[in-house]
This record gives sequence, structure tokens and C-alpha cells, in this order.
Amino acid sequence: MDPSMVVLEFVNVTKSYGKVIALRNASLSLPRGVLAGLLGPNGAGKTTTLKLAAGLLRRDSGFIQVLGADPWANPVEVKSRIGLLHERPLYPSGVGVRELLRFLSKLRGYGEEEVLRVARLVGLEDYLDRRVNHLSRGYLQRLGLAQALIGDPELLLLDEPTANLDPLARREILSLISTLKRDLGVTIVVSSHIVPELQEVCDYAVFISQGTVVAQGTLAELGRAFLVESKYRIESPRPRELASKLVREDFVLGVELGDGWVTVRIRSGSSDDLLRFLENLAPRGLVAKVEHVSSDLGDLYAKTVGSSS
Amino acid sequence: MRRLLGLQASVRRIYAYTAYIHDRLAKGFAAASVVVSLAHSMAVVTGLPSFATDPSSALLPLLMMTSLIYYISIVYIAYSMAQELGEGPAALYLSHPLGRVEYLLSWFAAGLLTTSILYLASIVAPVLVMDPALVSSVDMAVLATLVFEGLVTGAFVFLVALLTRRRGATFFAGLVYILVVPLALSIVAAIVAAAVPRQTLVETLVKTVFMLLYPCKYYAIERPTNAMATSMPSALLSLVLLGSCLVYAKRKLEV
Repeated sequence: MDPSMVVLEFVNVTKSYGKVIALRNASLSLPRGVLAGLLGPNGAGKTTTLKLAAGLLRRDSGFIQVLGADPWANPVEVKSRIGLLHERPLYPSGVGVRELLRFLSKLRGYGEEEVLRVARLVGLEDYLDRRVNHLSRGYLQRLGLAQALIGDPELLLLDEPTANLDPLARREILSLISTLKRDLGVTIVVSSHIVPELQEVCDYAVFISQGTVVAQGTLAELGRAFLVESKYRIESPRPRELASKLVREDFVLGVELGDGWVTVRIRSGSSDDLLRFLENLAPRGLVAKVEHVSSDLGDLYAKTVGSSS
Repeated sequence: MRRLLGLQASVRRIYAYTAYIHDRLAKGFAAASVVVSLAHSMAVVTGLPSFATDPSSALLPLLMMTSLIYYISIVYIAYSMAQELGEGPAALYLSHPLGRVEYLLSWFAAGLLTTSILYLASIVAPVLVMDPALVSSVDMAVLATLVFEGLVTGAFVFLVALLTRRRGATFFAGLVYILVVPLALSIVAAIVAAAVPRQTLVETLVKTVFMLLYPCKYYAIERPTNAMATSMPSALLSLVLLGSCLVYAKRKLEV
């Protein structure tokens, strides 16, 4: 990977709390522009990873670089370029939403306009004059996102952003995260132990178990490496003909037909079969472009984290 | 140039956070200021005749009483910092561009600088109102011993707050420091003095500790000729303690 494209890098990082080792020689590397899922069971070391990246914790050993700087040694430099949503943000009691956002904006050198901008971005503009302790869990999470977005950070670290939310609020927050990635082009790391909900939003994954990074990569890379169910989108001038050929193959689980494209879902470990099959069809002008859409995160989780624990 | 800009930005962040702490603790600050100001105003009005002839004797007993509110205010601010560190909001603030040392300096500014200024202003303001000429008769050395005692108290409780991150422990340590230790030292000194007529090593030791930790109370009891000189070790001690807090914050403050 081009070093200038790496926004976050851990090399053999160890962090312990007393006798408990939270991270053990963890190494990971995140390219710019991805929406990465940091996945692992409770207590795997996800929060520690994010706090180390934000310079809130000091590593015992190893090397950490975030946007080209050491977050513990240069906390202000790093924190002015990142945004962090804590798992359970504890706000001071009785503080107003506007007052809190105004103060945090001031720390980054921004004024009232920034408060309004981030409030609008997360749909909090009607709640600015409320006290923080009068907000519902869903709106508290929006406030958490709003404060993390102050100053247009290049890297967003979101620790369990959907924890303790009802299904509707959960969906809203996930859709908000997708929109942020799409519209602002910001690199996002979302930690979660609820794997299926990240399936729709992530294009990169880091699996962590018992303080060790067990696998990482784009979903396509991981899908190929761990032989899991995957989804591909194939552009074709004759999609109907292509679909009819695909459905006859054993490795195909399902085909969806669109205008100029076909989406095909294939069995675990069949990526190479599909690519070979499409290669054979290419000379006949049936295949214009092949793109990996997703790999089943649940499957990946079971094969990586499941096998390591 | 870059360093200067960095320093400027750092001062701006410390100012922003100090102002935020003030906003959060405004009610407490206001209540303490009102009580102390009223007490000092009453004292100046009722003790005006003796104040004009011997201001330090007239004010000293009252200062000993009101300084308690001043020291308790400092303890309360350290308690608030411990609460913030222990319960989570500190992690939220430190996730933004606020350095660990800047964070602590903001609390020092709010806890030591502001309370000292408010307290001194509450003494000087009523005197100024009565007769500006009287200000020159206020013994600045006595006020200095008061502030140094506040600084040592503050440095001690901030260190406790930083290390324990527990508001209860901080408040308890602060109250013990303000109320119990001086009383215990006085009792020990009295017992030693009564038991042995000559000055002993123990008595000297107790007095030295008292002078170091409580320069104002020491001044009130011993009346040394040079109050500033006897306060200097306390000033040094407070610098060492505050420096330890800053080094700890820079190297070890995790949230």
C-alpha cells in the first residue's frame, strides 16, 4: 500500500491495563477513504484500539501513526484532524447541546456557524436549546456524531455507534454514517460486535479477537482469502443472456438482473470459479466490467474471529 | 514563528476551556464570592477605627475565617476535576484538540488563579470603597502568605485528584488537609512545648512542617518578622507539586 494513502497504522502495538493485556502485538493499516468495520466480540480490544488511535491512551510498546503523526506524542496535531465518538459518551450533567457544541467548536478554532453546520448534518438543529440529559438515546448518539464532525475531520473513529439503540434509531445512525462517507469522503472506522448491521455500510474490515488482529482487508480480499459467500456486480451489454448462463452454474446462489448489469451471489470459495467463468465469456462481448460488491461479514467473522477464539 | 503560533493557539485553547469550567461552576463561584465579599465588607465597616491604626491585626482573625471558604473553593474545583476525569466527560473534551497539559493548566487557572483573584479582590474592594488610601496600609505580606497557603493546598488536592480520579477521595483529602492536619500539628506542638520547656528537635520539626504547609496560619501564630521569607519554602513546595501534576499529565494522563 502507498504509505501516503495510509491514514492509520499500528505496528506490533501492545497495551495492557495492569495485568490485563488489551492489545497484544496488534498490527493494522487503514487506507484513506474506506469505511472500515472494526469487528470483534466484547472485550476484544476495539475500544482500546480506537482510544490509542485518538491519543487518549499510551501504548506499552509498538508504533502508532495516525495521519502521519504519533497521536500520544502529538495529541493536538492528530486530534485536530480526527473526530471520535465514544462508546458511551458521558456528558456533563445539565449542559445545553448548543453550549457543549459551541465550546468544542471553539477548541478547534470554529464559531457558531460550525455548531449549526454539524447540527444540521446529523439532524439535531431542533434540539440545540435542549439540555443534554433531556435527549433520547438516539439523539444523544446524533450529538456524539455532531461533536465528532466538528471541523470536518479527515478520519472519523466511531466506537459502537449503534449500541443500546432501538432498531429504528440504529438504522438511522447507520444510514447517516453511509451518507457521511458518500458526501464528505471521510475515512471512517466503525467498531461493533453486531456484525450484520455493518454488512451494508463497510467496504473494509479489521477483525480483532483477544487483543490480536486476526484478519484485515477489503471485503473482496477477505472474501477471496477466507472463501466466503460473496456478491459481484457485472456490467454487460446483454445482461439477460449473461444471467441465463450464470444461473446454470453450481457455484451461483442467486442472480439479480438490472439495466445493463447483473448482480450475482456466489457460494463460499467460488470467487475464482466465477472469475474464470467470466473470463471465458469476455471474448463473446458479454462482460464489460466486474466489480466485487460485498462478502458476507457474518461468514468472515465466523471464519476469522470464530476460529481464533 | 511556527512555535509562536502554536503557543498562541495553546493559550487560546486554555482560555476557552478555563472559560467553560467557569461557566459550569459559575453558581459555586458566585455564592462563595458573595459570602466572602459580605464578610470582608462587614469587617471593614465595623473595624474601621482599629483598621486605620493596625490593619493587619484588625483583619487577620477575619482572614483566617474567610480563607477557609477560599481553600474549600479550591478543593471543590479539584473535586470537580476528579469527577470529570473519573466519570467520563474528560475523555470527551480530550478527544478534541486540547492537550493533556493544556487540560490541567486550564483547571489550575480556574482553581488557583481565579479563586485567588476573587478572594484578594473581595478584601481589597471594600477597603478601596471606604478610603483608597487605606489600601497602602494592607499588609501585602499577609495576603501573600494567604495565597501561598492556597497554592500549596490547591497543588496538593489537584495531585490527589489527578492520581485517584475519585471525587470523594479528593474532597476527603482536601478537608483533612485544611481542617485536620493543622489542628493535629497544633496539638502536637502544644504537647511537646508543654512537656519539654526547651525547644526540641520535634518542636522545630513540627513548626517547620507547619510553616511549609500553612504559611498563613504559621504567620498568625508565630508572627515572624519577615512573612515573605517564611512563605518562600511554601511557594517552592507548591511549584514542585504543580510541576509534578504537569509531568504526570504529560506522561501518564490516560482517559
